[in-house]
Amino acid sequence: MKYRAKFTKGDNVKFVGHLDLLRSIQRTINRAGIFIKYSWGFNPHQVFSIAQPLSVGQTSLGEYMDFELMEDISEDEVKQKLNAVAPRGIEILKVRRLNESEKKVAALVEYGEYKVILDKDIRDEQIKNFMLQDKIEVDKETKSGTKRVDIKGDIVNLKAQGNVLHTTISTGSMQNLKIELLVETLYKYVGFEYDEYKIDVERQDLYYMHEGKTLKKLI
Amino acid sequence: MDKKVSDYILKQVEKPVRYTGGEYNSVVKNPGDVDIRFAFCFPEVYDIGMSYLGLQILYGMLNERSDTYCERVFAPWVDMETKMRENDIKLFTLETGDEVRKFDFLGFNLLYEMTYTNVLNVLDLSGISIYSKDRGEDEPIVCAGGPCANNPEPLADFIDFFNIGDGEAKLDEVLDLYKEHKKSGGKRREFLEKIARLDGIYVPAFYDVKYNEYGTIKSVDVINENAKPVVGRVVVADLNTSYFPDKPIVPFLETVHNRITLEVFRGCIRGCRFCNAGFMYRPIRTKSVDTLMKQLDAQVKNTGFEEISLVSLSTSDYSGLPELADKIINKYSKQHISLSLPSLRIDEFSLDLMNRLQEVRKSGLTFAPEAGTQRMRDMINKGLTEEEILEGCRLAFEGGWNRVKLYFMMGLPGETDEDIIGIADLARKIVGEYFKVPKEIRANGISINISASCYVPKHNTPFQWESQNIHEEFERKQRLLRDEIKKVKQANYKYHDAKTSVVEGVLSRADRKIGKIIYDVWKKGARFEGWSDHFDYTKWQEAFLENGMSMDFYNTRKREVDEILPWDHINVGVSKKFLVKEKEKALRGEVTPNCKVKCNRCGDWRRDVGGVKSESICEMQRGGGIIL
Ligand code: SF4
Repeated sequence: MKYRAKFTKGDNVKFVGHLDLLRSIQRTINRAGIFIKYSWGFNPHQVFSIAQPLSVGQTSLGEYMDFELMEDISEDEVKQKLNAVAPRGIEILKVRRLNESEKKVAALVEYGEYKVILDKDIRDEQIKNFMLQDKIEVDKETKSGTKRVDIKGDIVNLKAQGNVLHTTISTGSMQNLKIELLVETLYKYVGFEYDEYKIDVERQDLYYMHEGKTLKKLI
Repeated sequence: MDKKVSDYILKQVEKPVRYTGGEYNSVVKNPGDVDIRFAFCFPEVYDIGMSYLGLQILYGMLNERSDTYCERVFAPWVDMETKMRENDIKLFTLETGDEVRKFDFLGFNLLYEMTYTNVLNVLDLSGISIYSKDRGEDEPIVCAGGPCANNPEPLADFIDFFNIGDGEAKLDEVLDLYKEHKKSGGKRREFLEKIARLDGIYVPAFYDVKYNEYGTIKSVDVINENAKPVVGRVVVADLNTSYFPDKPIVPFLETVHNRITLEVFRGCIRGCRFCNAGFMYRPIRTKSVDTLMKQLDAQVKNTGFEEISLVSLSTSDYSGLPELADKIINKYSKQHISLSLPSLRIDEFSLDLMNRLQEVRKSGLTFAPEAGTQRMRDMINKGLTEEEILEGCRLAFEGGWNRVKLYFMMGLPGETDEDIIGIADLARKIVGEYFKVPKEIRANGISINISASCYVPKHNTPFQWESQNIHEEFERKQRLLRDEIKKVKQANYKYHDAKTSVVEGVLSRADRKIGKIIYDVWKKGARFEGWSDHFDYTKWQEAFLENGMSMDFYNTRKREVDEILPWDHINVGVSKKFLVKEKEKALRGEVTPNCKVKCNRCGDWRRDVGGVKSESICEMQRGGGIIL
């Protein structure tokens, strides 16, 4: 039986790196006493996949993972059992069974919605002008050196209220814009000094594009 | 936790989870609801400290008390220390983020000597007076325990009291007394006087050490009527009933040993003469298979760890091991929980067991002959003959193993170059065993990894009077061994830093005078000296020079058996008489049978119960019904 769970990465676990988070979830599943399917090989390991990892220090209200259980348990029971033994900061918000044919989260996810607390106030009009540019070019590191790329197409929306930024941007395996890079580019445009350690990022949710027009949550 | 240090700083340091706590099973209490706040410090970086079973035991035990909140603190890594000093942040605990200096107690666990400079650094980062004598009424009581506390003298100037022996045995009583004392508003000295009367509690300030002209000890005098002339080590008599955590903390960070650690028994029957753990953890106390399975079930359920490790000084000596291993494999292999058994003797049973543990990869096997020749192995009482080693290797090669790790020591008392060359000879014979096994049976290719550490004579061992090699001598022997091992092309040799061992040797057998050196070395910036890239020998050389003291006095000087040793007023339980006898037998090359064969009466393990002597708490000595 395949399942998808939506969970939080709260303040208590925001500094837990991606691999350590995977291990924590694996141990949470072990404690919950639900039996997950293992892949065999040299080192049997649980098979579960997580959509687009966050950077260390960022929190999220909408992370997703897929996993396969050995038994057929109700969605509610899975959720309850996991929440009873999850570390503080990780809360399972929703669980849904998947059909065999459904895409894995990692392949499905395309967009992420973020709330960013900045260390300075930004005015509406600054955002407007930023978005009115023909191109928003940045240097991106690739295997063959740095490249100038236009990220304008990766920004679905961008709004600011005082020092709070709301935005939805490409967050997927095909197209991806790092939220830090967007903020840095915006700061440069506005003429602010950028200090990556001074901004706080909270991911709101992850989406995919449904029939080419609407953004849909992963569950 | 309630972070007192800003995210801005945390984002700039390596592995910020070292400082943020909140792990599964970490304890949350309201500090306002408790009488006693205890900061428990393992003076190493989080990743190392969290791997230590002793921490989990004491943390769990203290937090069982509703009147106490035990929180953790570790030595901040150098990047964090810099940030803390720049921003004037005082050291805080992981649980609440509160400053350690506001606590009632700061307790250090002393696992090994190279953390002593970290102890001073933790005090300083906490804003607590470094020297015990300078501490005011509003500062925490600073205490320490763990294996190094069996020679507490090097840290005597910095620690208010030591707990000698098992932490589980006496701490409850100390805290009960403290609670009463705090309510009545007593002074810290009064509290120390009260606990100085307890077994296992050592208050160094209540003892005055006088020295002879050449620096040896003339006398150790009690200068407070509450203190005892000799402090006895306290031990838990029955591990089946003593506290063992059923909910150990599950770190987020991948620590050195991130798994269930199940202690099978305490003490060791072997009596290897170089090993202070082998004497210091006596007497022998085992857990029953039932107890172990119960403890294991709880830990598996409450942690979700996927690996179980059985630990004790020599797990093969536990006669319940076949039954225990069977039970664990039957119960847990289906859940993909693996079992690891460090410190197994290699024989038919253990190889068969390892096969059953589904070790697909046939990871390397480990032997610890400790010395290269039979003469030397007899001298150190390593009950292992060359035939046994070669037989074990042959069995392993036939079973498909082809990587062997061998542990040796160099610089043992009475060692000659022949003993060093013997290490390479033994490696060559092992290679020979491999080639005797038919091609169709053995795995392809053999590799032998040899590790030879530099021997450190330790307190409370039969070699506590012996001379340690100087680092130039260690280095000469390392070159000799390297050249010899080059001749065995299947073997590799791993070096150890000789200078670290020299300093460890100085600290292990030091007296109180060394406190000033530790202080000066710390002042020169020494930290994390157990990490080779942080250890700086020249700081120690300078400090000795500046204080007009000599390292030789502590490490190369041979002591007479009637010299008063700095730790003589601490009685760990194994008698000096026994150690002297063992030393003499060593010189004659005589072995002492292990405790299973015969009790050699290493000490008086009867306890005083209301004026009457109890029976021995050593299970081996008592005999009967014990499964070891
Ligand atoms: S009392 Fe006897 S059996 Fe017990 S540890 Fe000492 S020598 Fe061994």
